[in-house]
Parts: sequence; structure tokens; C-alpha cells
Amino acid sequence: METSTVTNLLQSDALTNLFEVSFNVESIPSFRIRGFQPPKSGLKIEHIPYKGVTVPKIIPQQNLERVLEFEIRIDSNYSVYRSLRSIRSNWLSLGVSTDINPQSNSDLTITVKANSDSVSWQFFNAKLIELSLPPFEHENSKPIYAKATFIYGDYKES
Amino acid sequence: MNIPSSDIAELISWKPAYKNEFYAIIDDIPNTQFLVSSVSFAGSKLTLTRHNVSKLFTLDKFNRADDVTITWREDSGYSVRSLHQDWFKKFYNEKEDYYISHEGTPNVYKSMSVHLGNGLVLRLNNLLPTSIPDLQLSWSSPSITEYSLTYKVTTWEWKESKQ
Repeated sequence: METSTVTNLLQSDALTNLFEVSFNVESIPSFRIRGFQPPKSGLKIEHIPYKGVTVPKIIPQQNLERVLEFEIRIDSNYSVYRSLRSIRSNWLSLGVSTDINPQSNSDLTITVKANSDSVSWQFFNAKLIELSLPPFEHENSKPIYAKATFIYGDYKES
Repeated sequence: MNIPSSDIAELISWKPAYKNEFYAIIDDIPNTQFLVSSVSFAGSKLTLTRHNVSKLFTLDKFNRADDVTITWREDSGYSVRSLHQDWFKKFYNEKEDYYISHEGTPNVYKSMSVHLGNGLVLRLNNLLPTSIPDLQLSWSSPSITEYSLTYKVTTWEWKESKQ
């Protein structure tokens, strides 16, 4: 088989594992994220009856849940986890007393590229609302993935 | 039942009015498009009675469209509440305990434009408040503060939007 044939074959399909996630925070190291579900935006419909027929019409309600859920691989120094914790600390500081500041603004932007610059999603004003680690155990050894849930305000697909 | 296919084509292109397709702006109050979350404006009413002998209807009473009920969503600066407190001071002097006639008092009225779909605007002119919102705070409820308040409407009209 010629090399060019293999190259053409590789370039012919869009592949799910070529995506890249980045945050606009300089102190954050590159994240290794297990997967990404692009936002499923859609419109709702209402069925308008007229005599015996029913016609579906689009209603002014967008069916988009502005939530992102990531599973992020943690490094041996837990620096990724500490970085995530520092993002969350803008509106939640856990300690002896819990201080919540839900009204603080966020300029965190999450950019996800499907493959180089072909298709990308940008999530602006993102806030990390939930961060959790899996249970620790002595029985086996697996890389740790932290679960991070973000909410966001503006959203752009380009 | 025989429905012509042209009727179905018309029904597809027909535009219904949706309840959530609006925003309201009150003159001189910034960001009211975020603060006013619902508007309820009752229409004018006629009371008619059928005459016993002639069996025709006679007009008994005409009720003007006097009231508009607005649901306000409070912001973190409690600007809705402070707005109403300042507004009330133009009607009643609490310190000196006397009423102030709104006749001739400057800036006593506020007017509201309810922007609907298709460029239509319902203009409610010269609103007068009837109550200050109740302040209800609770540690057991993290929900957004909302008030439902009724105002007297002096006049109202339909307009085309300038947007």
C-alpha cells in the first residue's frame, strides 16, 4: 500500500480523539481531558392544532443546558488539581467556615478545538461549580481523573 | 372534515404570539429589561344586561383598564426597593405625616414600554404605584427575590417600535 493512500485515508475522516481543551489561565498547566461532549443546542417546538391537523412550530425557548462536565487527568504533584481548586476559590472557599460568593464575575474562557482550527467551541464567563476526586484505595493503581463541572454564560461555535 | 392544503400552508407561515417574547423598559430606570420578569395588564370591560321586554342588550357599565401588575426581579443593589421608596416620598411625607397631591408634583409618574414581538410596543403612560414591595429574606431560601406589584395606569396606547 502506498504511503499517500494511507495519508489520504487518515485525512478522510473526522476523528473523535483529536480534540484539544484549553483555558485562558496562564498558571494552569495543560490539561489532559478524557472526553468532551459538544453542547447539544436545539429549539423546542409546540404543536399547534387546527381542526384535524397539528402543525409543529418553533417556540421561543432554547434547549441548551449551559453546563460542561470534564474528567481531567491529575499529575503526580496534584498541580492540576490545585489549579482547578484555585479557579473555584474565586466564588467558593472551603474551610472551617464556608464562604460563598456567587455574584463574582468570571473571565474564564474554555476553548475546545475539534481538530486544529477547523471547528471550535468557546465558552465564556465559565465558573467551576463542582470538583471531585474519585475514592482512594489500596487494591489497585489507576490514574486519577478529577471530575470538574463548569457552568458558562456566553457560548460561540466557530 | 375537508381541510384545503392551502390552509395548512397558511398555518405553517402563521406567527403566533408567545408569552415570553417581550421585554419591558421603564423610563429613567436602567436595566429594566432584566428587572421586569412579567407584566399583566387587564383589558377594559363592558357590563351588559338583556332587557326583559325588548330582549336587547343595554350597556350598564364600562370598566377602564386601570391596573397593571408587574413582577420585579430584585438586583443585588436592591434598586427596585429603593426606587419605590423614593417614589412613595412623592405622595406621602412620612416624617411630617401628610399627603402630597400628585397634581403638579414633578416626576411623579413613570411610563413603561412593553416591547412585544414583531416591533409592537404597548406603551403604558403615567403609572402610579400602590404599594412598596414587601421585603422577605430567609436563610432557608436561596431563590431570587421577586415582587409582584400593581400600578394605576393613566392612559395606554399601541405603538410601532423604533428599533
